[in-house]
Amino acid sequence: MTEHMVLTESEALQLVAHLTASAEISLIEPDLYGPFRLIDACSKLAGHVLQHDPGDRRDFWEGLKAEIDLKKIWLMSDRENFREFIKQMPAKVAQELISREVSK
Amino acid sequence: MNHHRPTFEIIRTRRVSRFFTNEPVSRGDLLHLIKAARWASSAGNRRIHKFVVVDEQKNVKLIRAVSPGILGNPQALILICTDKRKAAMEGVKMDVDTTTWIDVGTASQNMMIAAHEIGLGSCPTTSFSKSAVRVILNLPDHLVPEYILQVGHPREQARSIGTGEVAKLPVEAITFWGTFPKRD
Repeated sequence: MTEHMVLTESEALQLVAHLTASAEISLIEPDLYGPFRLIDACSKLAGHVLQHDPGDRRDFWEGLKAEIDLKKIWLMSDRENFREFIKQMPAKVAQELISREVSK
Repeated sequence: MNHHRPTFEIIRTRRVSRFFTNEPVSRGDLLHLIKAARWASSAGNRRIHKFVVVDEQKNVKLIRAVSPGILGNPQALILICTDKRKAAMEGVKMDVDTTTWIDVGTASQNMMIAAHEIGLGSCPTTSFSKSAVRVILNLPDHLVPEYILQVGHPREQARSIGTGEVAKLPVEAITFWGTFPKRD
């Protein structure tokens, strides 16, 4: 497949606004909110990718965004599972990276 | 004893709503919430807070962009600001006087209860960039943004935030009567 554009300049600015605001409030928020802000930014980024037609990689991005949006708010109700979710997400992304290396 | 159940039921059934429909909130309803805030208790009746209502979608969107605590799509925002001029007139020591924060809470709770009573959802927000909100709303220097109440018509799944129902702590777990036993 060909590489797709994933962000317009305006969308990148939206994401930067979210990340810079997150950096500011992370100075005063409880530590566990830092991972929450980062994973929430991942969801926003995945949302932008989906708006630009990721082709045959749509399933991955849809799944990633759906899982993050479902589980990120466990921060407020189930912190043990939230921590587990945060620990497991990089491995899931790594699986996607590996599968793409294999298919090259 | 005369229990006023309707009031207590409104308090008991209120929940935070993070996700909303696209239906606008009328200015009449927003004014109703401000009136509720106006009737909140205020330390020494000093009334050092001001309320900035944001219902123009262009500005709601801008504030959302710099407010990581806003996860959904509120149709209106009510910003509570401390009026430093009024606080100075009242002799409030802003760096040590915690009543200023308590007054934000009482005003907010009144608004959330009033919102719930008329079928609106609301969500308290402190996770936002104060510096960015100041620029977006062109706030004068004497107004300090403290808190944002998100307002909208709640979506049905608005209350679903976790892996299951969160059990409320029993009253016994958070209440102590009278004095504590002496410690050795």
